Amino acid sequence: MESPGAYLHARRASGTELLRLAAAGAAAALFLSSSGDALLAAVLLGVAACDAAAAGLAGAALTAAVLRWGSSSLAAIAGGQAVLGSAVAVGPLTGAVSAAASGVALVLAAEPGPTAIPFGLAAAALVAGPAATSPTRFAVRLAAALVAALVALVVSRRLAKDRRRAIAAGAAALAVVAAVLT
Amino acid sequence: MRAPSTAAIAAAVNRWWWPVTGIGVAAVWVGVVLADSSRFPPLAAAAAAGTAVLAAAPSLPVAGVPGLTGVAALLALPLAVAEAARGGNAAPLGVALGVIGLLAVYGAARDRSPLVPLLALVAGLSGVVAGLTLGSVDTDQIRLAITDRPSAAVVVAGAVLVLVAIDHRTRAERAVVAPVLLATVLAAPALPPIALIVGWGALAVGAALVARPLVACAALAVVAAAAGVAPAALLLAAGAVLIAVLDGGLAAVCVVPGAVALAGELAARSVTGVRATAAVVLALTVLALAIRFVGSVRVDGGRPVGLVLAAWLVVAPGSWRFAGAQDMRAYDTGALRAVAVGALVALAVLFRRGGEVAAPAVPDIDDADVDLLTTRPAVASVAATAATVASVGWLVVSVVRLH
Repeated sequence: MESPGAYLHARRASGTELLRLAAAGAAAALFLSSSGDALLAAVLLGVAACDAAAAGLAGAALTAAVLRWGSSSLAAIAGGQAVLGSAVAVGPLTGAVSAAASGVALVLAAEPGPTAIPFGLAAAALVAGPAATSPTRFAVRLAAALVAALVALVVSRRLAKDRRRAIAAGAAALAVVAAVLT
Repeated sequence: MRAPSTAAIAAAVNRWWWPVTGIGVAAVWVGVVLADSSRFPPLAAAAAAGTAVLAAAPSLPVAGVPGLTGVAALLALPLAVAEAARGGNAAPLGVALGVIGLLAVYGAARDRSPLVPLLALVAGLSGVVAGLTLGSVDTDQIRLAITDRPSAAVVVAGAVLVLVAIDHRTRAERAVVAPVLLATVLAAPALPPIALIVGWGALAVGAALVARPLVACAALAVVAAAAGVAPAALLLAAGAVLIAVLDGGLAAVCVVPGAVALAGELAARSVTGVRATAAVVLALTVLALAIRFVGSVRVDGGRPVGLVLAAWLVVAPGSWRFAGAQDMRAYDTGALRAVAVGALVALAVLFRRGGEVAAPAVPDIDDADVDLLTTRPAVASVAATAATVASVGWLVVSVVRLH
């Protein structure tokens, strides 16, 4: 018969697991509240995924947003979208393409499991994340966050890692180039 | 409960008197930074504090007696650094650097340690001091901040030797990193930026790829100075000093505030060849550091003060006003929220899993180690609980003030 002690050992959280979940929670909070610095959030996403490639992809996608909006403040990026419109729907065309590509890169950079959620929230914040200054903008933000988090969760489970990474790398490169051209 | 024996007390005093002295000296210099005095401006006091923290870091040898290098690095060098960094006479700093280099070689010869890295260190220190002296020929005294190109080139060349050589040492002579790095950051604007960025950028990326975060961060600081982003350069220099203090892979996170400040400045300004090259160097270095990241850190000897300063740097670099980073408010707010939420999530996961963290297996534990292993988790738990309560309190206050 299996001892209760063995079961308890299996349930114990490892230090790495704690760190990953804490970083995922922290990143989710930053993207949900649009507060903090985008590059710091990229570091948190990297820790949440516990993977250098995911960190690099998240960093590239968020750098593209920083280049487009001219600020690394997530509040400034959300404020800009509240005034001008969602990043993916407002010109110039290269800027909209950069936002869409950033979103794709972030969703595909996620690792399977709950740590995929902040990647989805990050994609939503960059693609359609206006500051919630009116009910409409709040609805847009909420819908984008829900859809992107769900897509990140599903895609990270269903699509093979190699294929995800290859598409994400292409999308991140496109996002940065398009942002530089904006 | 048994009372500790006299022998145990004597052993504890032998082990801790020097680290505690070091922490005290470092704390005094940190106090001078916070006091914002006119005698020692914050940047000068911060350079001295960094020097003192570095000197206090190493553990004592078994006998409980610090070496001559340690005494000179902790008591004399910070004063000389502060005097030079405030714009005063840098001659005492030159003498102190020379003395520490020679004492380190003497100590290594006595211990039969490898001499080649130390000879490289002495050559590098000689280069830095010679550069400072050459650059001050037309002034009434030797200055730390030099502006003519040949002297700056000599300082920068000497600094490469010092950084590469010092990375292999773990003793008090590491204290020279702070003044040498400050002299290099101040000398960098006198040199052609693109050459400096390419050269030191290659050093930064190479060092990151071979898991040398100290050299990588220091080289990034010089790249930032060459790109004209002085606040980021000072934050990266502070990060490099703290990486040298903590001497572990986890300390590489001290790169983050300076890297964020540098990236923010580069993104906000118009694109030029110099800034584009600096941006590429920054991206490659950070990526290489992420690839070679190792989650270890040393907290023995006088290093706890370095740990506190590193946490302060990573969470609130905007409060390091001497560096002059103006636009770090978003970073500070986000980092504090991230710490608070991260602590809450960790706590929730722990409660769900029965409140225990799986410890890695530790082979061959003897009796002395058992005490350490049972005491450290208790201290860590108390510290984590205090940090969680404080950060959650702050989170509540910040949300209430927001609405």
